[in-house]
Amino acid sequence: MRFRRLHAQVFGVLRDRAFELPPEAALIFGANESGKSTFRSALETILYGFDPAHREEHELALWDGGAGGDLKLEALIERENGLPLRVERELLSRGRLRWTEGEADFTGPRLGNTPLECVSGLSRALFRAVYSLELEQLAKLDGDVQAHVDELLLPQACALPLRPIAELRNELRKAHQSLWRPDRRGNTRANELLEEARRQRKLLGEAAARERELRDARAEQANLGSEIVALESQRRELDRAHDDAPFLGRLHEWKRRSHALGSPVDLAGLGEFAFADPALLASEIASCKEAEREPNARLARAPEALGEPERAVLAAAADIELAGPLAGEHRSEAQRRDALREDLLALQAGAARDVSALLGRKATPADLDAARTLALEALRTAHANWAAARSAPVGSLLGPNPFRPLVAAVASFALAAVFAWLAPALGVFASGLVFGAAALGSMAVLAAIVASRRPSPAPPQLAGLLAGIAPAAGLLDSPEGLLRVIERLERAQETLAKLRACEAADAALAAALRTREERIERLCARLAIAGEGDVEARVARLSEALRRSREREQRVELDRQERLRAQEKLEALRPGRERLEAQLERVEAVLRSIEPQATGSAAFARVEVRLRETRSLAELEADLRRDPRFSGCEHDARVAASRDPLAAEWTPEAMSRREGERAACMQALTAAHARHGEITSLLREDPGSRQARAADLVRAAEDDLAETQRERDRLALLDSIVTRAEHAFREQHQPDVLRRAGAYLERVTHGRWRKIAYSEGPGGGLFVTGGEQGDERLAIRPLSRGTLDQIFLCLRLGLLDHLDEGRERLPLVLDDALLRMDDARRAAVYELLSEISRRRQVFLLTCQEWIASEAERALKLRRITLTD
Amino acid sequence: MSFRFLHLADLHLETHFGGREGTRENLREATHAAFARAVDYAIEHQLHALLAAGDLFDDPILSVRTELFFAGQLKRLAQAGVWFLAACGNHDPGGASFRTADLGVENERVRFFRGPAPELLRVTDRDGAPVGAVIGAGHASDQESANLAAAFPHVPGSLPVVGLLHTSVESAKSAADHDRYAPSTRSDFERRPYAYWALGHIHLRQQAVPGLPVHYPGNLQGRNPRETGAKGGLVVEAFAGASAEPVFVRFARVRWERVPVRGLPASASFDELASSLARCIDAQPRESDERLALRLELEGETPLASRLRSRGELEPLAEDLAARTGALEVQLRTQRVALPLDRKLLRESPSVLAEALALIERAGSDDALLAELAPAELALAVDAGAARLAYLRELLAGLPEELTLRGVEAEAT
Repeated sequence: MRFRRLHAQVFGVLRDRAFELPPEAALIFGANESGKSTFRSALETILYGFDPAHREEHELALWDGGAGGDLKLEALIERENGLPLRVERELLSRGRLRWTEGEADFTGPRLGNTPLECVSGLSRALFRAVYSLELEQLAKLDGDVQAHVDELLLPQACALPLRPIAELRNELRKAHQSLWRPDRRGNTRANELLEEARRQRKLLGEAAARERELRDARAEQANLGSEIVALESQRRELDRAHDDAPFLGRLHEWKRRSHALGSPVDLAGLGEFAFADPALLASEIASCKEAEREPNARLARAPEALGEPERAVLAAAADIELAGPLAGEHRSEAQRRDALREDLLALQAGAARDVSALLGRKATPADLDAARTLALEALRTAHANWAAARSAPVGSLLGPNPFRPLVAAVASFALAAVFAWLAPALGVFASGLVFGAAALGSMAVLAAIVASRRPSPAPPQLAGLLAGIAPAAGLLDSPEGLLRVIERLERAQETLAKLRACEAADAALAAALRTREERIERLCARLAIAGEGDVEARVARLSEALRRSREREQRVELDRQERLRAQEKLEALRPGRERLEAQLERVEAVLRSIEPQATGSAAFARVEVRLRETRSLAELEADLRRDPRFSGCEHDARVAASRDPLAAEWTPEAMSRREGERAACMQALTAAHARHGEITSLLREDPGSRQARAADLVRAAEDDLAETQRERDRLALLDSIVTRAEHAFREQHQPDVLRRAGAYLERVTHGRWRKIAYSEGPGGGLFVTGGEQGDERLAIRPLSRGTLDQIFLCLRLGLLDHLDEGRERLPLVLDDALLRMDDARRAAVYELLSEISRRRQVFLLTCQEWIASEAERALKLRRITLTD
Repeated sequence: MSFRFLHLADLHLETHFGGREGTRENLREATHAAFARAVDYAIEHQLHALLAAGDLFDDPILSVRTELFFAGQLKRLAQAGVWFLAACGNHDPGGASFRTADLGVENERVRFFRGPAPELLRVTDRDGAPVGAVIGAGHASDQESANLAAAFPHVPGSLPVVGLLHTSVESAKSAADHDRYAPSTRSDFERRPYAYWALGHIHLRQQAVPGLPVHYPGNLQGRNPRETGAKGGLVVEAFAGASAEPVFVRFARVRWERVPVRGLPASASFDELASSLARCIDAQPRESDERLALRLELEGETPLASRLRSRGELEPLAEDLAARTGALEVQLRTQRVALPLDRKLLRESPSVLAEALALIERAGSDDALLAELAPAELALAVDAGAARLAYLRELLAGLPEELTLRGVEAEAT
């Protein structure tokens, strides 16, 4: 393929710049910053697309801040089949591609930033490293490109897609070195596992130690079991001693005291009596007698008795007690009678005053009797009749009724007033009518006056009705007078009636008072109580007599009871005293029989001590015999009476010592049980197989380590085999690339260096063969820069041929790559390039005028100057 | 009168296990449980004795708990009137310096044969009547090299005679997989017409000598993928003057199996592969009270070959399979898994890979070349000479497929 035209519409410094390019070789000349590198980049961009593919990141898009618009290139490419290919690349937000066959316009949508089909399988990096070179890049082959070139130097022909051997070797090397290294350096997997295995072995050691601890604990537990059995046995012995010792001590004590006591005290002579101190008995007897002295004295005194008067008073006690309330009643009734009598006198005076007023003189008892008996109803009837008779001439104006003329008078005066009011209407008759009516009224007034002053005669039967009573003059002249008489009589009769009732009550009271006085008098007389004085005085005397009689009666009763008690006391004291006396007699007899040498209390004290001991021993014996151990221990030598109690094993000291031993034994037993329990828990909670578990992990770590080591050895062996195979393969199949490169180098160096060799691995690299001797093989490092440039140029030329085998041959771009070559070799290079340009398009880019001129001559090129 | 007993061997009670932690614990527990079940069986069936032919323990240093467990089981047997007779093996030697010498579990019905000299013991029933004679001998050390069986005497009498020994019968299957301790041969057993030989050491259940009543019951509980199948003990009813025929009784609750898996799915789907493997596991017969521990040996071509070589890929797959199938343990072996490639083309095309494959092939038969190719220093410490060469050959074995997997672009498959 060959670029025939390149149009940089917008591409860095190249703006709307079209280049018509020759098909074989082109010389691009320009000063610095004229766009040589941009031109080289434009060729690459046409083939591979924008790099980077984003406008924001592309350095040329940013070159002028985007002022020139989107980057855009167009090229016309002549392919090896002779067909033209128009390509347009534009960097919008992302790179876009359009292409079309021939000269036709672009049709269809834009494609992405993809490489042209003719460069597929050849990476941009490889293109840059092999096809498009500048001086500084000539000797550099790094990273993936180096690997690819390495691979290219191995002309393998396998139908299967194989990974690059260098990549495979690197992978193997990294893999086995990550597992283990002979120099033991680095954090390899084997080192990690070694550390893990060490750690697990340490844990295994700890597990073993733990198991030993458990085993020791188990052994200790077994020992503790024996120890516990022994301690239990000891404790049982001590418990038995603890339980038996007091009993044995008591048994020994009983025997010893019994032996010391000798024969027991015999109190049979006491009979039913208790053994007591004779002095005490005598004292008690004396006390009894002293107690009898007072009741005897009581009984010796004369008994108290009631006299006859006192008996009579006490017999009449009910009457006397009743007389008290009667006296009070009597007093109040006497006071009531006095008041009644005062009322009686007042009524008598009032009745006399009323009758006297009626009669107009001092009334006599006869008048009062007459007045009391008068029939007042009849008088009232007479009065009514009389008053009716006085108002009888009803139709007469002058009749006895003065109201009628008064009515007439009022009517007349009213009529006169009416006429006077109507005078203007009546005219001349008015005054007459007024006068007439007034006159008539005056007449009526006079008639009323006359009627009211006219006298009326008394009814004739009135005198009969007032028989025995002669009212004062004038009272009977009018009905009104009669009415006053009737009213006075009525009041007098009411007063007289009350008077009579008072008189009756007074008489009843007087009778009651008399009856009561007589009764009191009779009672006083019967009891020979002085009768002088009023009822109350007599009753007071009666009550006093009764009080005194009763006091006397009480003294008599008290005396009787005291005597009775004295008698009873004497009866109670006497048997005791007699019993004490009998007991004293018996005790003295017994004491005399037991302690003939002593007497009294001294004898008693001695006997009593012996007696207490006898009883105590009897109780002790009974107590001991109740214990089932008695029969077994009764004849035990340890409890013999003759044994020294201080040496006995049941002495407090011995018992205390044994208690101490027992406590210690119990404590030891408790501790042993506790430890035994601890160990039991320990063993119960033990998960077991600690060592086996730990050994599992040790084994796992060791297995992992062995597996890792085996894996490393396997990978290292494989690495070694692959390296060896590669070497053999390289030896067997001289790479075509090196052969071609060697041929180029021989031409460029005019036969000084004829062959290029390449080897991988340590000490490997590029070698050249030739030199002064003709078969010298040298590593290229010490050669001159110019020669190195020539070697790498030739190597690339060889690679170009190899890479383009069976595909479109891509152009070769050399940017001032010949600067360090000497003239002769540069000329050889020009010659070689001229030859190459017949197979592929060659671009020579330079900023050196002399290079440009030289190339123009050598290659017969037309210079394309970028600054034009 | 017959002598009825249970023949066990190789209990390996305190074994160190591999695998995941859960599996290890389950296996440890299963070993104890299997022994307890055997004891239950002996008591329940009123056997006269339980004979253990060596290797009661895996490690001479027993944990206290295991020791207590063991003592407890022996106590149960003694209380039920069942004899417990054990011959010491290489894992539980009876020498004075070893743990078995001082277990402290012996009583009138518990007896250990600790030394190489055969001892005769008459076994009685619960009423004290003799029912059989057991002649036993044990390993005094953990590396007994003498033929102990040769010293077993001829025992005349009317009781059935049983020999009890931990020995490696040379003609027994898989004898080569076990250390050659107390080796014995067919002639040792032919000369003694015992009713039964209760042997231990070989973990594979078998009649050790064809035509003779010489039996290995296998170990009580499989411990790893090499010890496959149902595990338990042999119930024997022996009569005087006749060869006894044992009957196998399973006691182990965990069964190891190795399952070859061929015909891997052609797709590159891990899930499909997992489903296919799960079906294989589910198809394995098992008892209702059994749990399976499986090693799946994958073989064949699959696009997943590269991933199946990676431990990081295998372990999650194995755990997934265990979870899917309820298996106690699933292990995957993928050394025989390969990419689907035209290997002839690969070998015949000129390439470094083909050269390397040819080199591997040559090194397989050329010790000098193998030694030359070997790394100067090996990570795994092996002795120089034959051992080193053997190791290198072992390494060489998987390299062709490894190289193919690594050297061919994965996308090619």
